[in-house]
Amino acid sequence: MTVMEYITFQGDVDIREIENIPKSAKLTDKKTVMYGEKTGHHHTFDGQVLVYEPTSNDVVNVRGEDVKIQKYLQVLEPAMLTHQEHEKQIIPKGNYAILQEREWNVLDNQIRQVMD
Amino acid sequence: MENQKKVFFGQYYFGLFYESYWLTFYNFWIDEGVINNDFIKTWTDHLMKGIFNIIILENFVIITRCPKYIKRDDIDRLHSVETTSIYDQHYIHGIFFEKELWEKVTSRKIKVKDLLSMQNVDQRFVAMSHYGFENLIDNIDKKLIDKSKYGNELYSTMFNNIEVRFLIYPDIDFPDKKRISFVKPDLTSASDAMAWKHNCTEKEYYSAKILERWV
Repeated sequence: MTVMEYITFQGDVDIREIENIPKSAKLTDKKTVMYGEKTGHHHTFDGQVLVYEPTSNDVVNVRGEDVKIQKYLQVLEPAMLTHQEHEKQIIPKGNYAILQEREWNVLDNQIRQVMD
Repeated sequence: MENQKKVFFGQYYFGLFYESYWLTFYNFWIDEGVINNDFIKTWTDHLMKGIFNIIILENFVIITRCPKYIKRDDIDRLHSVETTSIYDQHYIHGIFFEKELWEKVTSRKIKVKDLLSMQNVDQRFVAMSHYGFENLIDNIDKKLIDKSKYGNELYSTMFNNIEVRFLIYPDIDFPDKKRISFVKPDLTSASDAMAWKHNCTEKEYYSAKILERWV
């Protein structure tokens, strides 16, 4: 998968532009790309966007490490990404992979994903 | 047990439900009168009495009862910060705690000084994790490795003789609020550590749209 130049973050959600969304991805009827683990907060789009569910094996290689893709996103017109605790952002037209921020788990010496 | 010679070790499970599902099959035929087997009857009687596990040693037998519940963390270690994890025992992320200490740690009533000086390193480590590293950071011996132009600071500290690295960084939406996050221990610059957290290279991190707010 080819990652493009555009990249932005909202809390624990990383948004990376990609060239194409794979045909194996499954279109959903939702506009939420990630839910908070305990808070009930969510990262949700307002605008013309299509959210796709990746297959379980979909990864993007970053810094030599495979990072799991959480969702794919097709923004048809510039759309607003909202969240209860973070500032709104306008995401330009394009295809994107949604990744999750990560941190080092010092108890287990391994990477884990951050949930806000 | 350590001093026993030629310990015979046998283990018999009666109460693990995922292993005893087959008894329901036999129970049906026992109830129907098709099977009349003393061994099966004895086995199910043990199960119904709540025996969970039997360990037979040379000179004695250990029998444990079925726990009412078992609480675990997300990687299946015994864990609960609200109640016992199993029987009357307290665990935090797989580490056993005496009740009194567990109560102090989980209620966060233990003094930072006492927490940092806990002798059992495993207990100290998980207790610190539960207590919240952000609450301890001022009391930890740490070394600043790098600071970025956005105010991200990469620190190094030692836990259990292992070097770990963490970032202290301003929340991008609320710059007055500091956040703390552990990062991969081979990272050497604050910007690169932030880039790693956000699944990108340092160059990509600096090009991130959201950082325009900081300029």
